[in-house]
Amino acid sequence: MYARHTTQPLPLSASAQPSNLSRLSIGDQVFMCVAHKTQLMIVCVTDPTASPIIASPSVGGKPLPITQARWVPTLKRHLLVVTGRGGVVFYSWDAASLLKVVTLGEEGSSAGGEEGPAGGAGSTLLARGVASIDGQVAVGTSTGEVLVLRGGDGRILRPGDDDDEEDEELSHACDDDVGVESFRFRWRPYAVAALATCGDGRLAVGYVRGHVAVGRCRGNGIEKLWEVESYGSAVSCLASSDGLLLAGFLSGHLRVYQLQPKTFLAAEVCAHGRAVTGLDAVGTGDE
Amino acid sequence: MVMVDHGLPLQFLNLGGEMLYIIDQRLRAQEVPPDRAAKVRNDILSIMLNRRFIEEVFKPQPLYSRAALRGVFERLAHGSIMRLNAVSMDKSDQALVLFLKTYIDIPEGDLAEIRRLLLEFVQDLNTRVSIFLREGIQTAEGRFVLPVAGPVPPNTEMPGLIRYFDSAGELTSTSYFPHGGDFQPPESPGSLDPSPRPRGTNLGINLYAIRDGLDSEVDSSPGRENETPEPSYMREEGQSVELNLLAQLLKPASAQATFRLNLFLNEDDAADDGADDEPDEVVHVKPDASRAPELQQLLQQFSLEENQDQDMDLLELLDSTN
Repeated sequence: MYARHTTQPLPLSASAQPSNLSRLSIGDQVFMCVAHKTQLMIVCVTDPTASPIIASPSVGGKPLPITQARWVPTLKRHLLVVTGRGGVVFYSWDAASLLKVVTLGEEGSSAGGEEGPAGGAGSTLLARGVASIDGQVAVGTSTGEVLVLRGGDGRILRPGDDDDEEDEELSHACDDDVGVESFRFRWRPYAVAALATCGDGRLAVGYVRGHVAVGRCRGNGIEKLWEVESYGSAVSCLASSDGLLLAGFLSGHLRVYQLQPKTFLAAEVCAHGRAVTGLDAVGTGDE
Repeated sequence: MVMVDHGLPLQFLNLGGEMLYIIDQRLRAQEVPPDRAAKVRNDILSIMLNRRFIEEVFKPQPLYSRAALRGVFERLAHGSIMRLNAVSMDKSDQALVLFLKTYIDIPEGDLAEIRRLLLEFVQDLNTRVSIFLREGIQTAEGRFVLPVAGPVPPNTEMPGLIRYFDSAGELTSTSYFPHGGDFQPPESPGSLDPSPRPRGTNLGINLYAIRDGLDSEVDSSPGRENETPEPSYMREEGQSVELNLLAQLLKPASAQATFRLNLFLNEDDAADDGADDEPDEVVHVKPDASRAPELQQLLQQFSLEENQDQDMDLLELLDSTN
């Protein structure tokens, strides 16, 4: 039922960022990814003899202060997506290949589109929150916008998508397509704290002001299905499994929301005496 | 508003405050005359809280790097009649940054991002500070000891309770799980008002004053014997003295009556890995200077007369830095 693997010492200390641990299973190998300031560490916990992989993502020629690094499944593979202050970097799953760098603008500026969300002079935009949605990659920003970027393997088509694009989208799978923006949306003008995939094309967004919202992909956009007002404490992390959405808060609370058939707060746990800094839900696989 | 560019005020003001505590402790330990010690403290505080400087600090900008911050505090420390040698400045720089590392309880929400910035700033710093070692705040390896027991923060419930709700939002049942900790209910929130107690946090207090029993503002009323005493507050000199104090900055080092202050001479040598030799030319100001002719001559050269002629040069300097 429970087996502990050999402890793997990390070559560098872990940054005090929420959700600073990502897990990837490939065959019988299990990998862990941890961020240290501007560097990534990837260790294989099932092979103690393997050397850790160190990656140093950069944006605009400068090291990227990392907020989160996560493996995201697309339709055919896993991408290693790294968010930080000023941009988003896409790697192959083992960080061996740099696929795309997406630069974020400054807060308040008119920059946007290919450059990412609009920003403002003198204030760096920050990206935090990574999740997969229909084979694409969703990234949250400090303006409250969520960018949905292509994963390079096409995407799952939903009702309302243009039928003429179907064959082209599904067959168009290459690294050049990675990181290209599909669409963006903003439900709240507050910084995004965390994102989570809820299955069936649904995406959960948690905000630093404590709001939580869930939406579903519709064509080249997203429809908001449900939202809960803030309890007064910031969301710190999100996870989803077995039809449940779990939200950790800086107040130490863990709130469990049932997603189907109706979304509502099912349980509230006074889990910790300090902020919840990470969540990982491994369910039965049932939706 | 992106909080990543609003961490500098916390970084600068907290570090500046800790630097003042350290300098104050050393001024007392080395028995610097009270009037000169007060002048040093007031000089530094007046410069640090200069209106233009504070306005610049509060502009949205990234945190200063360690090297840049050291430069700022080195100039700040030398904005008085006091002089620090390189060794003392190095130790001061390490110590005050380590003091900042203890600022771990910052209110949530937007400040959480600032807290992460500050934690990143001090990440991997494990310099041991003797008072931290003695107080049990730091381990022998330089790691900080974070309390896991005791009162939970304000707006946090004690762990263990689970509430269950139905689809209508009604509470249907509760249960408890063993959290395995030793938690207590949250204390009342602190206040920013300097007068009332409690402050609600031990952050920002002067550990040296508590250890040496120098703080006379301890409230010994019933029920408050175990409360952390409030720090001593600097007395305000008034704006009329500020410009005169700032004018000291423009005095050439050779013409300025100064004295050297040794930091951590007897305090932290035992806790450091390597001993640092103090230069022989450093002057130690002693109350009974009459027995040392050289010291007596130096004391006679000390002057507290403000140089009014430097006011205009100071303003020009401030203007040039904007």
